[in-house]
Amino acid sequence: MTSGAPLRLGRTEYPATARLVMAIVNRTPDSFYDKGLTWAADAALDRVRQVVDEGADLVDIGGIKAAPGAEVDAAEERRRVVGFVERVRAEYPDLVVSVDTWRAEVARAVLEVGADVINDAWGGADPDLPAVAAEFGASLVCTHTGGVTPRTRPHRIEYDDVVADARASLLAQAERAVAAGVEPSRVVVDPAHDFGKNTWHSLEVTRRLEELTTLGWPVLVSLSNKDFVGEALDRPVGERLTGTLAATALCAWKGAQVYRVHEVRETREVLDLVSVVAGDLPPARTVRGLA
Amino acid sequence: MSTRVAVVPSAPLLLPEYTGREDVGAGLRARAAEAVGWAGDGGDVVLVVATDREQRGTRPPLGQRVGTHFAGTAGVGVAAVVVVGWDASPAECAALGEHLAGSAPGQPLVVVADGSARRGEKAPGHLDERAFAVDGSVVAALRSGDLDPVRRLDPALCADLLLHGRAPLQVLAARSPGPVVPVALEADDPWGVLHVVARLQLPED
Repeated sequence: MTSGAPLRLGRTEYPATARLVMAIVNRTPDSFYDKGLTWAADAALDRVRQVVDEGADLVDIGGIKAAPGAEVDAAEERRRVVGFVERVRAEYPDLVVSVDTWRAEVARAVLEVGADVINDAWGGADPDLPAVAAEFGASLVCTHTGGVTPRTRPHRIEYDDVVADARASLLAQAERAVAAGVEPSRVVVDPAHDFGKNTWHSLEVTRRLEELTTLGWPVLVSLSNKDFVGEALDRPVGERLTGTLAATALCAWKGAQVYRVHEVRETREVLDLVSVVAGDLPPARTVRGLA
Repeated sequence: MSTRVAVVPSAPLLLPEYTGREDVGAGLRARAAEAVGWAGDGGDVVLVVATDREQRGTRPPLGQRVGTHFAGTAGVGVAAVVVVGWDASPAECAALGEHLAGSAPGQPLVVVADGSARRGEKAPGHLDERAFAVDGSVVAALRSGDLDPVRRLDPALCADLLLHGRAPLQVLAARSPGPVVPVALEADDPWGVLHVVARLQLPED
């Protein structure tokens, strides 16, 4: 079992043993898993209420699907997320709110209305982003994408050593973030399964995750219902929860600390089981053989 | 001047190291510790505990550890621990009780003793209907102060019923040959084991 690193998100400081659920909230009409279910702001807000009830530690609000598709410019992205972040912040003053964007101007707009974390899911595509996060005292998620252009699928990408590439990229981005003024305890790194990676790459990152969780930066993993789970088990979207949860348990054991997910309740249960086995959390209730 | 006695449970879930996020034994632990504090009354107590029936390692008996935990919580010192074999004969128990009467008159006692662990389908020892009558006789004795039914407890039957407190209770009965004065008693079995918290006084001291 590998331990992580302490981290700060919003006003909360979490220990190295924390295992946090980051619930995906899409303000998109076309994301691969929910296919626009929470496109309407009210539906998205209902989703926030639901995931908070289910035990999410933070929400990750996104206005653009990751895969290629209709162009969403910065103005449209702002329209999708800024007002919504404001509504979430008003209803949940203490909830840690992350926004999934690679654009510095969108990051600035959401941080102005109270977002706590910028999830730069496209690996530093906009070089101005870290300084904006720093300016607002926000946390920043740095990701490894192999340097691909945002919203492109990997095609025939090869690495000499994908984990070494991720390690070098994440360390460089983390150091850049700190140099830009982001508090070190607010830097999180994400190897970004399936981003700039085929299934073999994502599996290798999972298998060798402790090479990333021991770098001193808290690690976020985004595994939920992804293609590497689907290809590993030959399961279509919609039938990947069991595989996702198995990968979640493995990553938890290897020291990942933040889990970006669709299914909160199930993830919470898996992470709690890992925490209990690790000895980081007492069992909920113990009577058997002890009365 | 009378000598105070507390009878308390020995369930391991009352120990901090066996407590989950929900502290299921919190209420029972608090009431048992209060009873121990009452018995000690600012001084030290002598613990009377049974050996473990399922001893595997080298730790002190659970009864000793649980009783010591109550004493610590109550701010009461433990002057001595009398450990009686869980399967000791009534004669052995009587000898220990009589020795206590002679060697430590006036010393408050904490008797760590449970009733049967076979009080339901989900009980540790599954259900044995005989448990209710035997436990009932023990509770009635502690409630009335007439400990004769405790003296008459059959070791083989109690072993069958996983009535683990039989030997310590028989030490208590021998410590006080006459009736004792019942002060308070609660008995419950939420997990299929009879747990008792009782306060008694021994009048002859």
